[in-house]
Amino acid sequence: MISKHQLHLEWSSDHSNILIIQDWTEEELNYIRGLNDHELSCRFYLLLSEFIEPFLNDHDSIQPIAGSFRIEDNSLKFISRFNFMNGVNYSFLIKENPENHHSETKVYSIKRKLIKGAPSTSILNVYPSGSEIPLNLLKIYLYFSAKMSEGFASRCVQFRDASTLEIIPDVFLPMKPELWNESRTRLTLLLDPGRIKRGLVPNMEVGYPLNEGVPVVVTVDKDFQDSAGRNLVDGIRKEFNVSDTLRVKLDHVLWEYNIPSIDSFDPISINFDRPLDRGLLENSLKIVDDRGRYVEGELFVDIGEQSWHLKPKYKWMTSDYRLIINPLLEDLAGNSLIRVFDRDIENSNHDPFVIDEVVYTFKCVDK
Amino acid sequence: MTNNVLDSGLNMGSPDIKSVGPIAFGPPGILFVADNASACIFAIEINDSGDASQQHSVKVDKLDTLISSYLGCPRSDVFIRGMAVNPSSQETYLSVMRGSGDQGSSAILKIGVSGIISEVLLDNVRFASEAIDGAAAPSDDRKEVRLLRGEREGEDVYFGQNKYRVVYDKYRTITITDMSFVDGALFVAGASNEEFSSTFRCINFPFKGNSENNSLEIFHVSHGKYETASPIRNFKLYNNNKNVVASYTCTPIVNFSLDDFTSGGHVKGETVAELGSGNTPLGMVSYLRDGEEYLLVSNSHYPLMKIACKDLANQEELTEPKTPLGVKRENLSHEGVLQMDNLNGSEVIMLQEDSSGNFNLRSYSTSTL
Repeated sequence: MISKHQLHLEWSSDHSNILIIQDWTEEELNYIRGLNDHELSCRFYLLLSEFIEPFLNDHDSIQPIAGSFRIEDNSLKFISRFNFMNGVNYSFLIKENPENHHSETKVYSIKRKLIKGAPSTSILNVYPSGSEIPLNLLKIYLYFSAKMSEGFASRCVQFRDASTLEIIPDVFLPMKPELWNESRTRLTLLLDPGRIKRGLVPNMEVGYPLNEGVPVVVTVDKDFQDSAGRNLVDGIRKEFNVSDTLRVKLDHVLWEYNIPSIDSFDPISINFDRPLDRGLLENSLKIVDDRGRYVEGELFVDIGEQSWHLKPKYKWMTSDYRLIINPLLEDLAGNSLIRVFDRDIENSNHDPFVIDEVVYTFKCVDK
Repeated sequence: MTNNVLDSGLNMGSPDIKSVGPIAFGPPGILFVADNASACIFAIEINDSGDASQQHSVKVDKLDTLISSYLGCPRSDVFIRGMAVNPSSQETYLSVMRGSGDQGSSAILKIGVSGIISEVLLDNVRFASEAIDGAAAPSDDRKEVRLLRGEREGEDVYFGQNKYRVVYDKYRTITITDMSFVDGALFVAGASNEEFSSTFRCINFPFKGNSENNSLEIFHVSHGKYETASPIRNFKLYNNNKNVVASYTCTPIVNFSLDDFTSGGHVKGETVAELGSGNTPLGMVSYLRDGEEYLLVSNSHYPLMKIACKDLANQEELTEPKTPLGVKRENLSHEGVLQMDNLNGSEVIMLQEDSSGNFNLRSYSTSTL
């Protein structure tokens, strides 16, 4: 049995893993209905069009697409294990004689449309958001307005010399897989830690990824694709000055606290002695009252990540409040409250300590 | 095997794996699959009828092309995330991502000796899962709200009269970089997308929930001068599972004693080798040759390196940062090694990328390594 006339191939409108093959004669349909699953899979094949030739030449090496054929409503349907991919050519093959590899094969092809539409996803923020970064900057965050595709970070995000716009090579650590949040709207990019840590061979051989005093630009190309395969609305450029290395533990005693008034909705504000890591800042500071209840409210982090505010949902009371600081909170160079990123073992100021939380106690003031 | 599985806390169902990462075999019939999108490890019962008593070699050319054909996607959309050999059957398993973005999906594939691919179907299988993100930061309840169309996922939330379908996503995630099962415990290394530290965990199997997880903060000391906590890329247990050798993203090879791990807290490892700049360690395997234990380390920019484990144990901590550094190693000629595992007692299997960009699967006798 082999169809001597033109068959019609059509994608299912309801399921993106089903291809419908139509326009069979009644005689052909009756024949197909008589085939069991194994016989169907020996006579009909679905392939990526690019593999037709190797498949026909060496039947044993190329396997057809995983899935099964089934007769339904006078059509033959191929139910693929995986959804068909947009923009890809697929081919349906009928073998005249499945026992004979050299028997006649009829091929029908169909392309899955590439539906992209106009770009609608944009870059919301690049962090650090300030204009100065330390020479031993550890990471940057990119926030996008919608879910993104993986696999574009290394080619679409660059550090460049601010004056020439030439790409500075090998700044980022190649990460496979990339570091995304669960909804793939925030990307974390690590600068090569081997070049940042003192005493390691990469640091000794090729030095820091950036140069102190030489301004740089972080660029994100608009070719960075969102989850629907579309480009971004626009790329982005953000310029930074590069300052000296930063290797000092965070110390909450050095922070400036603006304590709110009792019976007010005033925010509590903390000014840090240096910019802190934006990702960690979102959940590393919590306030509880004297009964251990968390103070709910809206959080704000100012541009530059050097101040943090909590505007309470309910008025402040007469209470001994405690600000609970996660000791893993880091600055831009990975120094936390308990350790310096790459600590000098002979420097006692760098000695780490183990602590679950750091607490700052305050009372709200009378108006 | 049946009794083993019954005791393993597995339940019938369909594991919802969002994104496959590294894989590892555990007790007979159990495959561990890291899901990096949900920071979760699945233990899945695998019914594998292969015969491990037959020692056979593996030679599969253009594996990525074969997978591309089987999955019905372009070769550029095939991403092999993990490889493990089932010791019960000597069958090679791969965790594969097919495409990215909305079109992306994952699959666990079994590669037969002659290159025949079959998929490990995950509908109605016995499985268990364990979340690993909570262990490092129990207070981290931070989530972002995302509005959805349709009702396939998420929950209904009312704002005034309006109903919205929302899902709460985690900002903080752990990306699992390697796993290894030894003596009833699954060792897991990972990288966080926020704090820069080592997230090395020892999870008892059968899974008992996060409270049983032993999360360790691991430091490596470079040249006796500087100490850093840093993500581990690959690791292997050796010396009768008394030691761990780990490769870091910043290329040191670091030796730990497992005895230190049980104490938890601050674990210090000694840097015993440095591989140099511009390089990422890709894979690690240990094997026996003439009664001696050896380690292979594959690299993005350096040849495959062979290290004798006895040299690792005897290597003094590095104090002079000069290349090539540390423990004695031999460069092997195997091209483009991406992943490795023990095929059986006498062969090591390697996934290699050749100069034309094709991925080939090859096994090598340990007597030649």
